[in-house]
Amino acid sequence: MQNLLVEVENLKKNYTHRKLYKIQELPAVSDVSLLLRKGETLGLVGESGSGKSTLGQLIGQLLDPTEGIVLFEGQAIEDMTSQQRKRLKKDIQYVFQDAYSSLNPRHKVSKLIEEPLIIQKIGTPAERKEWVNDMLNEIGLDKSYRDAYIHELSGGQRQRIGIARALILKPKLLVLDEPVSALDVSVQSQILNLLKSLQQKYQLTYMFISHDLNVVHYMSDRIAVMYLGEIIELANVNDLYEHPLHPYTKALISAIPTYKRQGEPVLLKGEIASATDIPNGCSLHPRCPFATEICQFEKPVLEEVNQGQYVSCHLSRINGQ
Amino acid sequence: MSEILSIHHVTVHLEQNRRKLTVLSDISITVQKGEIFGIVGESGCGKSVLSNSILDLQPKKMRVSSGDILFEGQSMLKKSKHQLQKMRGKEISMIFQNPMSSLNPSLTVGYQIVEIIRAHQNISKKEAKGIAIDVMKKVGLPRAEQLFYDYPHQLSGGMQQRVMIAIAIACQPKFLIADEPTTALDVTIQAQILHLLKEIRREQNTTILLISHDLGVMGDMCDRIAVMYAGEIVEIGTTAQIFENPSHPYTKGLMESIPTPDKKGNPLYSIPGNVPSLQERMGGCPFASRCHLAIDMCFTSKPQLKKVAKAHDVSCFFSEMEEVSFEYAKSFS
Repeated sequence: MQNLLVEVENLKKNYTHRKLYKIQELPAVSDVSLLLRKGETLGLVGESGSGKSTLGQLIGQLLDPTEGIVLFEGQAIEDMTSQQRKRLKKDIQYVFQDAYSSLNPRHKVSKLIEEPLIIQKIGTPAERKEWVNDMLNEIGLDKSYRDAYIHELSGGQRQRIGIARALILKPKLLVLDEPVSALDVSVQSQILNLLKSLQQKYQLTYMFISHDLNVVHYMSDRIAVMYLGEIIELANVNDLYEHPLHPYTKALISAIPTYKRQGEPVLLKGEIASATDIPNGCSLHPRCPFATEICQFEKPVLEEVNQGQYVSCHLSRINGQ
Repeated sequence: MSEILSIHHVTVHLEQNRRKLTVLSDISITVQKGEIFGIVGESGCGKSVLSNSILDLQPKKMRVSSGDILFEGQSMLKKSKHQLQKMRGKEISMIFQNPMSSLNPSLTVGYQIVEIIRAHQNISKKEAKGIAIDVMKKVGLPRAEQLFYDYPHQLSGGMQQRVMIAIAIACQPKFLIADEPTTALDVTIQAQILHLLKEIRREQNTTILLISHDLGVMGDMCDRIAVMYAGEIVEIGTTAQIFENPSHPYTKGLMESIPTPDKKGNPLYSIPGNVPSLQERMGGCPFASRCHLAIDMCFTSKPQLKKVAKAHDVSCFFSEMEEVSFEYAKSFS
């Protein structure tokens, strides 16, 4: 198991919600297990409210799970000492969607990129300055931007700073939470290309969260589809886009608007249920056009249907055989 | 088909610190009755300013300084405030991008739909409520009778957008302006809303002016598309022409930079640089600074929209020279 970077087992995260005297549990992520191999890009898609960001934050060490374990390079994060945890934060870095609100407006670009090094107590000031210059070069910004403030930069440049800040610690895993959704198409492709080339150069592992199915397809090797806190389908990119098995995945993929769309989209009824009121049985059944009786009562489990393609749907098991 | 809206050489200026900045320059579009006409462009290219100026909704600092906007042959710019107010919602309606900030949070959904019906028709509250509930059902809102008394914050984003559409079509307008109607929504909800817009068009023969930055949505929905860049229209044509034979370097660049399944594994084309801000815009072709075909002429003189095929206009000096576009095509591969 040399090439496994992250193993996630039965991960759960509940948020609590106070309603007058009642404390309500909101399951944001329930019972998720997945593996991240070294050097791969795992795409994570789903509607808003599906728990994809929560899962990203759990793996990115920004949240602690309610239950379940995360293993990083074979070691359970739970059992780590505080020093090991600090070192772990060097290995796992996070890139946020909105670079404008996640970067301190009172710091200059050089300070923003240098800050992680200071926190981790790496290098002397002179060394750090050199590394920052190298990093600026790496992300395609001129050295003259060292003294700029974040409000002086364009959206694409800001996102580059966000990436630089994550990369300066030479991490192994980068969790990218909607890194291009705030950008225009022409700038988006610049950032996607940058991420691709950085990944090759430094053998990075990416967890790429996005709601844009075209972008996820372009970036990922494997894709996990989430719905109401669970992974409902996990497969290689080509399998998932060419033969989606779960009705929700089918609906998602057929809903991508394109010129000369093939056939009519599979329209789901209504909207994603609230996390306070997750339907019994299969959580998709009230919206699913193919739902049968069993879907209302029994929760399907994630099973390997084809090689490397995992689906949690009663119908795929019946149809698959 | 007949023309319903025609925009003639409209130029919009913004006054800032006693400087006159050109937001839109010399825009001309004609929209035919019953079609879905798309305006696509990146943020800051002026697509919303253009649609807002049809109903005089642009900020006060922005003035239409020349040109004319004709709706069914009548000038919109010469109408008084009162006349415009009568048209808004009845003849021409708008759907905005962010329903949460366009709906009034302190009024019930039902009140807001009844409000527009009663503003344009002299009927009783009870009758108006009946119409409102019919419209709510038509846009696919479940439990319309109960939802009538709900407040916007109690609804999800998709339902709020449906309420916006209900308000927009309550008086059966002839012309619907949808400004990024699905940008804030999830893909599955987006598919529902787009489906709904198509249905409204089919049933009521409503003309729709659809504004979006998403070329996929455009390709799926529109009959004709205008591509805007930095306050100018750089290309205009049928959807098939724009997608199969994009002729302006900017349109080509946009098409190439969208990640699609067939581009996987290769680096994406990306247009260098950023959209110039209002202050940075100079004479000449607005795209010259980012175009790798640009020659001296592009920086000094402005190209005009020229016909390259039937119903297909492009504003680029190179669009007529075939060998150059061949070279351009090669440079992508």
